[in-house]
Amino acid sequence: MKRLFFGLSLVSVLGLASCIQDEPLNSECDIEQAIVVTDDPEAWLLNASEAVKDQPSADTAIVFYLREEFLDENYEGWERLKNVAINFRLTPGATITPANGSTHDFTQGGVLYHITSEDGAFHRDYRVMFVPIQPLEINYSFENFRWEPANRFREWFEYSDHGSVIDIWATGNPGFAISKSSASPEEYPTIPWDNESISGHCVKLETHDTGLFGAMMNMRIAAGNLFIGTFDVANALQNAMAATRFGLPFNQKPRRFEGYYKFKPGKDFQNRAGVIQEGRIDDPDLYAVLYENTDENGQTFTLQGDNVLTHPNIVALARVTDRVHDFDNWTHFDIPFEYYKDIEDDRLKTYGYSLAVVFTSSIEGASFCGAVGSTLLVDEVKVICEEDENE
Amino acid sequence: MKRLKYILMTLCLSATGILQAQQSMKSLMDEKRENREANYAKWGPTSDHDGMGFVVRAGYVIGGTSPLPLPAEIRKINEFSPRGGFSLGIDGYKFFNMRWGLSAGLRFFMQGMHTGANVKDYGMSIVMGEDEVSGNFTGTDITETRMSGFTIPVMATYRIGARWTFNLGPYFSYWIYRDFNGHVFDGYLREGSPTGQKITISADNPAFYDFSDDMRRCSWGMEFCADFRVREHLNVFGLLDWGLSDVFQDDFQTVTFPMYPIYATLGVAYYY
Repeated sequence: MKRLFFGLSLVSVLGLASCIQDEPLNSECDIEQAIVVTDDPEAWLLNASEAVKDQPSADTAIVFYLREEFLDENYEGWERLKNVAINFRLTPGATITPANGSTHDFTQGGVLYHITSEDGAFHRDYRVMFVPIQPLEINYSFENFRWEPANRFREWFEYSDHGSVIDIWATGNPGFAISKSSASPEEYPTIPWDNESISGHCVKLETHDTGLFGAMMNMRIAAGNLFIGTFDVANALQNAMAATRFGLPFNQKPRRFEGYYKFKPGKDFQNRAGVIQEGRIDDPDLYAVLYENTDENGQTFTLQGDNVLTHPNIVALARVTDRVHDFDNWTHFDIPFEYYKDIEDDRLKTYGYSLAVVFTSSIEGASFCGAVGSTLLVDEVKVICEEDENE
Repeated sequence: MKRLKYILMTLCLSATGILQAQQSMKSLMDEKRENREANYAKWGPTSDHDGMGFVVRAGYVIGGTSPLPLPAEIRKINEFSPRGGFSLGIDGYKFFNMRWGLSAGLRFFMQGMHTGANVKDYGMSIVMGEDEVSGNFTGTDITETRMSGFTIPVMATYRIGARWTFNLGPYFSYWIYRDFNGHVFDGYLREGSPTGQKITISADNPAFYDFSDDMRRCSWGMEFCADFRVREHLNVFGLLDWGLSDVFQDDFQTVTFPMYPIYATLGVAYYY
């Protein structure tokens, strides 16, 4: 009898399988990777691994960083930017114009590429640019923010010395947007706040419940966070620790980490499973970390959630350790960087270190543990570097 | 004169022959009908042409819940196994003549399946409370569904032969217990459209869903049942319940296509 049922279920599977229709054409039209065709990337690009870019799916700007010398508009290196070929890896079946690998002049603000999906129904435009690396801003007042393209939440940025917008700040807001599509802009974990700031706006980080979707993914809370680096939304659900990519290239020697904060813990501290931990009080976390941004093979290295305070590439750390729970008055902090290694001047000059400044409203928020309602306000933060100190 | 006599005789003989032939044919047909009637009576369900009675059915349920036809986005069925169970019921029947009758019944059933499929660029949206994630998913989906409850079939009955009976008619079901859950993994979602944010959903951290509470309780469809009498009073039967109502409630938006329960029951029946 059992064999009969097995036979029948086999027949039904085959029956279903025979109903399978022809494969639809691919509807995606992404540049997944861009590779600059060059024999000597280190001679003009920021570093050897800069010639290869893995492109985040949400982003249609591809930026290759040039060495600092390119800040001089008359630098002879600009000549070679007139004839650069880039190879693109596209989603299967997609087509690109101008042609993949064709040579273009990138001295006029970049080149626009048009990608069409295999089924012809979708297309995206990408702009590829070459931009000289610039010193990272080190005074943070959190006055510069804007709406993200879909107007769901705010993003913070800084201006360069030349007045151009530099997106140095990232938050977990894009991840929260996936789980809580119904949230209003003020209900996001990281929002601008002007009621109680030291001057202008401060930034308000608050640990939020991520709702039913969060529970579905075993990510029940979202701590408010703001950090120098990028947030890789594609990985937010798969590997949240890898989604927070901390730090951007830096060319100064940081000495002190200074600023102001207010903090109040939420009522019930919960673990990842959502179980309330009796007696546990939430804490914020504020730190700045300097690290070597290449590995032993010269490949780009980025600190992420699970190693941002522990990786051997870390050179120096300044972390607020006496976490004051006072929401009425601003607490001032001024923490010296503790160095674990000596700074190599050559590496420093070529932006071989990266600096990350990190704020979060729940110290274990990266592991989705914390108290909903924990709130951290931050304002007027500075990373004081060696030159500044000497001044 | 002699010639005429011969002709008449021949005619008489041939007429008698025809008559005789007709008579023998008639008796043969009568005999056949009697045989058939005897045969029908022998195999039951009753000896009367317009009899009535009961059938008790017990069977094992296999089948699945599926969109129809399978959308092109479903690339491959990796696994399928029924999660059925037994079905137990009683039908009352009434024959109006030798061939035609009517039957109606009440059955308890357990149905279910477990299936895994690869999908490509599958338009989906998951709504939970006020929140919604929608987009195009490419990857693997595993679904498991179970239902148990009662079915009332109302069918026309046709005896196609002494041993075969076919039944066809609508059925109405009430699900006491219903479950529809699963998870997606090993793939990614393009949020909103194929050009939207790519969200990787790995095998390590799958996304679970449970739409049990969004399933209906009452459904209907068509039932076809074939009975074959193996002994007097005892049948084997195959029965197909082809659902014509979506297993989900009308206001349920998450699964964007209707899914129909299509379950077969194989078993034995006893006629009274």
